[in-house]
Amino acid sequence: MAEGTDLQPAPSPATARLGRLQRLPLRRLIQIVLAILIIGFVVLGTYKTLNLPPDERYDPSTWKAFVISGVAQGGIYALIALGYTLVYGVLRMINFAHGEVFMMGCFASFFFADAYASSGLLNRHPFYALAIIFAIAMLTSCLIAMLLERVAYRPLRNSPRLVPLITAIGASLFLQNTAFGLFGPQTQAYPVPDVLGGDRTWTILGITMQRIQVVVIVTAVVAVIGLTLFISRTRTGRSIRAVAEDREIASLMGIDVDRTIMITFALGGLLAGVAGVQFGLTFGQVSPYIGFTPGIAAFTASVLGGIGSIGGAALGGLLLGLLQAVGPPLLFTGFNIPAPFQLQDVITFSVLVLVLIFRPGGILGSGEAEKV
Amino acid sequence: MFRRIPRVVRAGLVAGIVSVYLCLVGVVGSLVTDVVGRITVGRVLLSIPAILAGFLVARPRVVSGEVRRSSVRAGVPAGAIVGLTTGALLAVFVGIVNLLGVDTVRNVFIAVKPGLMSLLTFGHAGVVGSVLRIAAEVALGAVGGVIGAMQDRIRVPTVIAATVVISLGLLRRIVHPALAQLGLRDDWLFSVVTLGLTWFGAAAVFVVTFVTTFAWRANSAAIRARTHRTPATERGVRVVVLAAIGAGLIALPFLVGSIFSQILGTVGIYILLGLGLNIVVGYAGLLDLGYVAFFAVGAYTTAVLTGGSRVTTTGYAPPSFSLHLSFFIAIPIVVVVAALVGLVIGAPVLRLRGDYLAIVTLGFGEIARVLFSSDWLKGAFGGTQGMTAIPAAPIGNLDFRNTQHFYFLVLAFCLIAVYISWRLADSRVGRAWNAMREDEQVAEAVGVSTVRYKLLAFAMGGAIGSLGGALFAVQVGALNNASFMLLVSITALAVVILGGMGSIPGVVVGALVLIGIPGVFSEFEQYRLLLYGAVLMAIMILRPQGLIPNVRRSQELEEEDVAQDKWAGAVTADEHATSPALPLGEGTG
Amino acid sequence: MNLLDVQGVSKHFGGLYALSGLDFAVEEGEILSIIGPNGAGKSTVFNVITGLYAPDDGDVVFRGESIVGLTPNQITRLGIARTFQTVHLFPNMTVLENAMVGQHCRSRTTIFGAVFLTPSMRREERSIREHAESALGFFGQRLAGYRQDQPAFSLSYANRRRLEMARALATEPSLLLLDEPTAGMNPRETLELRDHIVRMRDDLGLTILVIEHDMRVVKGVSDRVVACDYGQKIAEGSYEDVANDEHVIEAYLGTKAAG
Repeated sequence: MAEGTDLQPAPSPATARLGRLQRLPLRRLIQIVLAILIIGFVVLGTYKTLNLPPDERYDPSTWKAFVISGVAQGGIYALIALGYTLVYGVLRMINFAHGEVFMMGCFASFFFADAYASSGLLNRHPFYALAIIFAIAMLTSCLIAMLLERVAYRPLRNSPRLVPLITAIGASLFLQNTAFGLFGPQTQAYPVPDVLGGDRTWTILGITMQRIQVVVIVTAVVAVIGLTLFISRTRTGRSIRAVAEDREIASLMGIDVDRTIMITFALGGLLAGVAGVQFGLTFGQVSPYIGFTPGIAAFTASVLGGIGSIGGAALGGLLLGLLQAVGPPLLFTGFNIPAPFQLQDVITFSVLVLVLIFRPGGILGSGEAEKV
Repeated sequence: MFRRIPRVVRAGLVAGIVSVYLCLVGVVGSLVTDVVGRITVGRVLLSIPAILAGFLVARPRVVSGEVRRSSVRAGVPAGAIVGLTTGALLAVFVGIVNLLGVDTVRNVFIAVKPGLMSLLTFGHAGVVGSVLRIAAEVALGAVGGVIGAMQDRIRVPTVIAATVVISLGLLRRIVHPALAQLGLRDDWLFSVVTLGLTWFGAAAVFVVTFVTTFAWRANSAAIRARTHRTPATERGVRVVVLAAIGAGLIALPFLVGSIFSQILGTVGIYILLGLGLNIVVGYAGLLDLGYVAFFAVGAYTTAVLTGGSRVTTTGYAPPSFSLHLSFFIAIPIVVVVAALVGLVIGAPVLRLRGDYLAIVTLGFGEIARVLFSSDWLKGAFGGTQGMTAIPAAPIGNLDFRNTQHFYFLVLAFCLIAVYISWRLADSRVGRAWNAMREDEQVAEAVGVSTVRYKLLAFAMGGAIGSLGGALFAVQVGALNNASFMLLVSITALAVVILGGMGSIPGVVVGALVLIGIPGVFSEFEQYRLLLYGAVLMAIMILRPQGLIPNVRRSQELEEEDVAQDKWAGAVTADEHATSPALPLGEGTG
Repeated sequence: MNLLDVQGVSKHFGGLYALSGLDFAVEEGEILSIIGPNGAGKSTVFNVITGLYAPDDGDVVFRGESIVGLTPNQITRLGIARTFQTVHLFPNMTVLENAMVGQHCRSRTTIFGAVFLTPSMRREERSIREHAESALGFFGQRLAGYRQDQPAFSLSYANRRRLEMARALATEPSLLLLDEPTAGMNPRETLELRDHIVRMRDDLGLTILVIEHDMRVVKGVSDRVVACDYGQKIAEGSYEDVANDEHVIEAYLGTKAAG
C-alpha cells in the first residue's frame, strides 16, 4: 500500500450509512423504560397496600408515627447532608469520610454522656449535661474534619477528580477502624436523660411526638437557619461563597483559600457533631459502624435536594427521611414482601440513582449541580 | 503557628503523634509475634515513626533547585532531635496514663493495658521508664538520620535488607514448613523458642541480602548487557525466567502446605476480582464501588446452578430454582449472567461520570447484597441464612475441596484472566477504553461509541469478577450476606490501587500483599481494614501510579500535575460529573 | 450535490441565541472558511454538525441525509472529522495510539477477536497501524520516528495541533472541520499549516470547513468564505467579496461603514 493514498475516504456510502435501529437514542430509551417501570411499581405498590384487607392494613395512627419518625430521621440526615453539600460546593468533591466524622463525634460524646449518666448528672441537670455533650461532639467532629482536610485532601487539591474520592474512601475505612481499635467493636448503649426518654411526649399543634423527635427537628431547623445566615451575612461566609465560585479568582482577590476550605470542613464537622448526639439520643446506641449508612443516606439527601445548596440539603434530608419511613410499608407491603424495612436501603439507593439519572441537579438545583 | 517550629522538631512531633496513635489503636500492644529475638511486631511498628522521621529530615532534599545532601555527621544529631521530640511526646503520654490510672483510661481506650505501658517503659516504672523510652527514641531517630544521610548505593541495599529481614521474621509460619518440605534445616534461622528469627539468622539474612543487592545494583547494567546481547540469548533468558515462575507456581501449594494453600486460593480469588475491576477502573476509567455485586452474582448463580441448598430453620431445602450442573458447565452460564448484570447496572448510569458513578455503583452493590439476603427472595437464595452444601465438581483425582487442589483451579482461572486482560490492553478495544478514560467527549467525537464501550467495560469486568465469586462458592461451600459486604468492593479497589491502575502485575502484587500478608500473619487480621484504609490514602497521596505502574503510564503520572495544568483549561470544566453536554471550545463560539 | 447542508439551524443557551437560523452549504472538494467576530456562534456550528449539541431548530444534511439526532461517534463514522478550538488529545496515550484511536470507527475487532488473536484481528491491527502511521506521516517528520512512542502530553504545542489533525485524518473522513487550526502558532508554523490544509484537499481529496481568525490563512486557503455574526450568515462568496462586504466590516469594526 502506498503511503498517503490510503487516506482516501474509504467506506462506500452504503456501508457508512446507518440503519434505522442505530438512530434510536439508547440513553433516552433506557430512561423512558426505567421511568415507566418505576412509576408502575410505585403506583401498583401503593394501590395494593392501601387496598389490603382491613385486618392487614396499617391504621392511620401507624402512618402518622411513620411520618413523624421520618421527619425526625430527616432532621439528622439534613445536618449531615449540610456537611456534604458545603464541601462539595467548595471543592467539588464527595467527602466520603463525612459519615465517619459524624460517628467520631457521637463516640466522643458518648463517653461524657456515659460518665454523666453514672454520676447522675445527666438526670439531675439534663440541660447542662446535654450542652456539654453537644459541645464535645461538635468539637471532636470539627477537629477530625479539619485533620482530614489537612492530611488527606489538601495534598490532592489539583489531582484528577477520582484521586481525592479514592482517598476519601480510604479515610472512611481508616477512621472507622480507628474507632474500632480505640474504642472496641461492641455496640454500646448511649445514655438518654429521662426527660427525653422514649415514652415521654410533647404535643405540638395537636400532634403528639416523642420529645427527642422534637429536639432533633428543632435543632435541625436552627442549624439550617444559622448556617444560611452565616454563609450569607458574614465575611467568612462570603469567602466561602467566593471560593466555591472560583478558587483561583478568590485567591487573587486576597482570600486565603486554604483557610476558607479549612473553615468549610470545620462547619461541616460541627453540624455532624450535632447530628452525632442526636443519633445517639434517638437510637440509644453507638458503635464504630454507625457512620456508614447515615453517611450514604445523607449524601443521597444532599443530592436529592441539589448538592451545593443549603436549603436543598435540608429539604433533601426531610424528604429522604420521609421516604425511608413511609416508603417501605407503602410500596412493599402490597406485594406481600415480608419484612419491608429490610429494603430501606434499597429505597435510599434507588432515590440516589433516580435523581442522578433524571434530575442530576436535584430538586432545588438548576439542572447542573454546581452552585453553593 | 505550626510552621514556625523548626522542621526537625515538627517531624519529631508528627512521629510522636503517630506513635501515640499506634499505641492507642492497639497495634503496638496486641501484635506480639516475635520478629527478631524478643522484638515483637508491635515494637517494630512503634519504632518505625521515629526512624522514618529521622530518615526524612536527613535525606537529601532539593532547595531552590539545588540538591542538598547532609553528611552522616549532620544526619545523626538531626535524627536524634527528632527522636528526642518523639520520645518526649511518648513520655508525656505515659505520664498522663499513669496519672489517670491505666484502668480509667482503659474505659475509653481499650488498647491501654499494663502490658502496653510496660512495653513503652521497658518494664521500669516512673521516671526511669520514661527516660529509657526517650533514649530509645533518640537512638531510633539517629538510626533514621544515618540511613537518610547515606549515599544511595549503600542506603538502598540497607533498606531492602532490613525489609527482607522483617518480612522473613513475619512469614515464619509459611517459610518454616516450606523449608522443612525441602528438607532444609532452619534452626539457625528461626528460634524454636520465640518463633521469630534468631539474632544470628537475622544478621546473616541482612548481610546476604545487603551484599547481593549491592552487587546487583553495581553490576546490573553489565549483566543485562550480557544476557540481552542477542535476541536468542534474550529469548533464552525469558524462557528460563518463565519456566522458573511456572515451576514455582506449581510447587507452591506443596511447599506451603494445605492451610496456606487456602490463603493462596483467596489471594487468587482477589486477583480475579482485581483484574476484573482493573478493566473497569484501570482501563475504562469508571470507578465502580459496587463491584461486590458481580462477586455475589457469581457466587449465588454458581450455588443455584450446581445444586446448593438453602439453609432454613428446619434444615436444608432446595431453592425454588435449582439445577445440578457440573461446576465447569455452570461457569459459562455464570459468566453470561454476570455480563448481563453488568449491562443492567451499566445502562442507567451511562450519563454519570466520576464520583457520582462511584456512589451510584456503591448503591447497586448494596442493593445486590440486600436483595440476595432479603426475606423476599428467601425462596431463591436463602435469605440471611444463605446457601450451603454447594458441591465442588471434581475432575479426575483433583478434588477442589482440598485446598491444594483448589489452588490449581484458581491458578487456571487467574491465568485465563491475566491473558484476557493482557490481550485486551493492547487491542482496539483497550485503546477505545483508554481514550474514554482520558477524555470521554473527545473519544466520542473521534468515533468511539462511549455508550457501547462503557457497557462493554461493565460486562467484561463483571464477567471476570463473577469467576472470583464462582470460585468463592466452591471454596467455602456456603454463602451468606456477610461475605458480600461493601468491604469486598473496597478490598478489590485497594488491590488495584496498590499495584497501580491498569497494571496487571500490579493486581497480582496488590492481592499478595493485601490478602496474603494478613492471611499468613493472622494476628493482623483485626487491623486488616485499618491497613486498607491507610494504603488507599497513602498511595493516592504519595504515589498515585501505584507500586508497579503500568509500563506506559509510569512516567506520565509523575508529570500529571504539569500535564493537568498545561492541558487546555476546558478539560477541568468538562469534569463536572453531571453537567449535560458540555461546550467543547466555548458555548457561543 | 452539496456534501453538507446547514439549513436554518438555531441553538440557544438560556436566553442567549448562539445560532439563529444559520444557512450555508459546503460543496464537495472545496475549502470553505467561516469567519466572524468572537461570540458569532462559529464553534457552536461545529458542535451542532458533529452531534455534540442538538439544534433547537433546523436541519443538518450530510450526503443528502439528515444527521441531526445521531451521536457524535456515528457522525464521525459517516465521514465527518473535527479538531477542537483548544487542543483535545488523549494526553497519556502515545502519539501513535492517539492516531490509532482515529481508526477505531473504520475497524471492527471485538473482544473475542482481541482475546483469541484471530488472523483477521491481526490483519486489522496491522492495517490500523499502517493507516495511523500514514496519517501521522502527512506532517512529514514532525510526528514520525521516535516521537510516535512518546506520550502525547510531551509534544510541543504546534505538534499537539498537528497530532489532533492527524487523528482526525485517521478517521478517514470526507469532510474535515478545523476549529481555528492556527491559533497559538507562530508565523512560520502558520504558513506551514496553510500549505497542509491546501494539501489535504488536493492530495487527500478532502472537503474542508475551517474556522479561522488569521485573515492571511483565510485568504490563502479558501475557495469560499462565509461570514457570521450573532449566529446568522451576513455574507458569503469569494474572499475578496466577503472582505469588502460592508456588513462584515461593520461586524468587525462595530461601526456603520461609510456608504
